Amino acid sequence: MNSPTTFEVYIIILAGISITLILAMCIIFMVIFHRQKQLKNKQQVALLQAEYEHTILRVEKEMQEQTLEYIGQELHDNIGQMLSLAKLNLNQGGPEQVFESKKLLTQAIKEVRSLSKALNLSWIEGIGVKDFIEKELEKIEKTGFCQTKLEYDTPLDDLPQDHKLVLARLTQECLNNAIKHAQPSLLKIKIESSQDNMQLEISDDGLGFDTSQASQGMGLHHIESRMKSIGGKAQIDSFPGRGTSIKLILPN
Amino acid sequence: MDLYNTFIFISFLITIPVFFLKKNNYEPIHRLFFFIIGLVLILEMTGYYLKIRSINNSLLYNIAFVYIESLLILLYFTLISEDAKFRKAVRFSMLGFILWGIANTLFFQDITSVFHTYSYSIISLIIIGCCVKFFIDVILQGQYENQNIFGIPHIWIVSGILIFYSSTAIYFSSIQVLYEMNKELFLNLRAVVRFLSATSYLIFAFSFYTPYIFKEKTIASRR
Repeated sequence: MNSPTTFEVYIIILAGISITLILAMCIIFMVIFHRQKQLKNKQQVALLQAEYEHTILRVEKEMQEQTLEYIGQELHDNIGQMLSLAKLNLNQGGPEQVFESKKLLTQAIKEVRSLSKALNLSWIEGIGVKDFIEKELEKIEKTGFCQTKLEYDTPLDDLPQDHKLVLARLTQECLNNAIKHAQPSLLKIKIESSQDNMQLEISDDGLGFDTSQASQGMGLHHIESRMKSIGGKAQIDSFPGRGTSIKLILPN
Repeated sequence: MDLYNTFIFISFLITIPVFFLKKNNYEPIHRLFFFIIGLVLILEMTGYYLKIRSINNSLLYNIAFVYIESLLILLYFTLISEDAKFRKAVRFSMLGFILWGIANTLFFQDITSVFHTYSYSIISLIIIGCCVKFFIDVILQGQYENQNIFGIPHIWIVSGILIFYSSTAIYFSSIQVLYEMNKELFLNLRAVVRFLSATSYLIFAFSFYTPYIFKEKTIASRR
């Protein structure tokens, strides 16, 4: 075998230098590319976190608004009426009227106590979503608007506070929508829990709607995005004349 | 002064204004690299002077380039690493390298007349290993997390070191053979190596401006 010429050695060394130079540059570019990707991912996570916090804040605000609206209505339609009636009775001055007024005042005090409870959102911390739903259904029953039914196999009281808030708010929103638009005779809520997930279904036998319509789509998208923000999903089934069913699903 | 020395001189000049900029965490490293580039400038100027007077400059290059500069670069890695075990290993390598240098001088390669190719090959591998360890820490240990990577001088400096030592290891390890084979081809290769070398020193010098150019953005941590 011939020994390599000087020129061949020169070429080999030059090639060696070039290859190692390229390899070194590749390592550097890979490191920089990887770190930039890591940084981008972190920024994305931070963005998602901010979005989540924004959702929770909005949910809290909406719950407060809803509660205040309810309290305003209760004060005007219920407690206000009781107090006016009590005043009228007292003005007449008879023992029967006084007794009736006492009864009305006791009832008014009871109502005020229950209202003051509703003012404080942190009560959700102590109870389950099921208790919240029960109260909401009670309110609807009280108005005589329609029949309600609650079925559950778990009270959902061990969920994180944020999840409870979002579920409570979405349930409230779905019930409000049903009352406003669906004219149902029965509103039904079913809470089921399996090994994989927990499901909260709000259904009615009302008018239903076409889910493909843009005006409805926005509201549905809103529900879906809120469920997504807490790691869950929403399934909405409806058809004109056949009622609506909204399933809120959270993984266990 | 030839073009190569001019570039080293420029690199040296570039490092000076950093002393007057707003202080940051990179001050000790800047002082170290100011010293390294200054050392290289004196080395290359003296080497050039000895060469034009036809005096063998091997002793100068062996002591200043193969041993002192390499040890200073290893010292740099001990200053920037957060891994105590790694720092200890590098310090042992530095000690081992000094002992090897003495043994090489006494038994294998005369320090006054021959370039210490064995020592250079060994130290190149150690330095390349340190560079790889640094990059692994950046990726896997999340070093400089939440910072703009381009605004960290260490990234530029270690990149410069890796480029220089990985690509020139072959050249310096075979420098004796090359020199004896063909002078013209040797000079061609030397030009390539000098280009890489000058680029590295410019990178070192410019790296201390990167925190001011690429602001070290941090991601506001929530909660």
